[in-house]
Amino acid sequence: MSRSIDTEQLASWVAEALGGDETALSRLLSALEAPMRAFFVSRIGRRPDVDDLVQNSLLRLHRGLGDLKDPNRLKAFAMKGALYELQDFYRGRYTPKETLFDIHDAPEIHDDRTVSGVGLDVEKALSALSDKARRIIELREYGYKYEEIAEMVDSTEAAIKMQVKRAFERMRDALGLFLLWISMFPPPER
Amino acid sequence: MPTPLEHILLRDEWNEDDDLVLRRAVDADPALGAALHRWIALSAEAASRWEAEVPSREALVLLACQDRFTSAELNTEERVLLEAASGALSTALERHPAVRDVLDRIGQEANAFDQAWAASIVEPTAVPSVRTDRSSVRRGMAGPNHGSPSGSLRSIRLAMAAAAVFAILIVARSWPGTDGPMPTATYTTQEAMQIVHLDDGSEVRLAPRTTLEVLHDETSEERRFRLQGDGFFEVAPGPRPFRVVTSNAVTTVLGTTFGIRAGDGTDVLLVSGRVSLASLEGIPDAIVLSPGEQGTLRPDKRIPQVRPFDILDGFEWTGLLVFRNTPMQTVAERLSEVFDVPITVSEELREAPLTGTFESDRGSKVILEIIASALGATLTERPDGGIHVSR
Repeated sequence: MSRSIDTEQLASWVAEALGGDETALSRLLSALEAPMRAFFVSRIGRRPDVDDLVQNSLLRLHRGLGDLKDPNRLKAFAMKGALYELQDFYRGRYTPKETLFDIHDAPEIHDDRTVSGVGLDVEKALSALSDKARRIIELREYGYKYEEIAEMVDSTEAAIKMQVKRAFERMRDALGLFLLWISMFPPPER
Repeated sequence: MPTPLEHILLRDEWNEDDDLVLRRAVDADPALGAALHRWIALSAEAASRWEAEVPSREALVLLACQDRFTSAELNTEERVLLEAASGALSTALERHPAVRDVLDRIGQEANAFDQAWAASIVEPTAVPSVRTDRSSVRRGMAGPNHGSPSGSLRSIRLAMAAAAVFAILIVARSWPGTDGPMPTATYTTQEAMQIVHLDDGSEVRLAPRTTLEVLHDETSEERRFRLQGDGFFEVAPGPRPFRVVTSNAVTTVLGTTFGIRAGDGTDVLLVSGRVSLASLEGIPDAIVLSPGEQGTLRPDKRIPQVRPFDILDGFEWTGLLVFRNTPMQTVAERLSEVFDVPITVSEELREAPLTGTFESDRGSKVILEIIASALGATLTERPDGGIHVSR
């Protein structure tokens, strides 16, 4: 990769861009595309999402350029934007699944929240999880892949998936008992 | 072939085929559907709690990169966000241990950005010893309106207790003489205040007619400066001590600190953290200031005197409004006085403590908007032109 751009040149373009010079702005954004792309590829691999992330990061930088009081602080400014975009990417990673298996489309069951004294509501089910399982679920909900979670908690992907399966099985067993209980002692009619 | 359970639980990628397999399995086994329903609700509950109890993703980025971003590299909203998130972090970590994992991960991502940047952008090789011209001061000061007299160089600053930056203001009225080490860099201001960005990430606001000399280089065991005039330091943390020598004293930053000095000799007014003040003649006589204390070392004395000071006064020359755990009612009174605008505060907010440093030239409206944002309050314009702050 060529390293033809130096920080002084970048700072100069920033100052000119802030003064309304469109050419300088264009050069600045072009110069930043390479490090941005390299960064995102290093985090999520070579995939189409990288194009969107680079574009969004540069757009964010463009919109927020007025906040850059000192052109020499461009790197920190760019880094923040890229990190924000990456966190947003994680947030949206599993959104499609939610639409494919919509919770409202799932088979009807009794709403245990209406059954006083039956401690199998969602909150209690969550509390019943092991610390490790809950940690994994939270990281998953944040948007990380199991492979990434394994790396983060110093484990293996297989071990992480096994933890999730166990947690699910325990919850399903508890739910089975709950449904049995409900069938024997249905909630009173209202 | 993965089981339906694995489809919903363990897939990183999702496609229509997966969805079809899952729906068939659920149709064939309603109990599985119920369990999946419950699992998704459980995951949603976990996400909901996270959302409610953990700082936002942007705030996590700022928290994870506190050692990377100086206060000057954050915009107003980010400073507010970081301040609020710093206060909420310990509770979030206690309730959600995964927050630590996320912070570590973001830290790794920042390292990856460093590497990607270094592969594409050439950093200058300059060291302090070569930066002796004054133009570097002006370039560092440039900001968005480079060359414009009205350049908006100043930003509203929130001093964050948990942020990795601290500040100290020192004023020296007389020059210590020509003895001592030769400076590796010298910054001098004329008629206007200027900001100098130091290589360690620290920032110094120099008052008019002030000279700051850098007395160390990259091999020195300490960061040492000599000041003639008024200097307001925002010091980036680092392994090397940060010392400022004035006409008769040496001030050593010992921790997160915000201080000020005014008057003859050397005065240091400490807002938070710790600072030691010692005569150049006798380090054994050094005093360590506590927040709210002013240390004064007169030219003919060896031992500094200590007395309390009012944080609301004494910063006028900097154009800064400084508050530390100041009740909102007091903040409102101060802003009313400075901007000549009636400002009232609702009952429930009057005792709310505020910590922040604001540049007064941004005006009452902007400052109040930031404060309202930090407190989760709203601003209402009153018929008499005043502003009411309430929740």
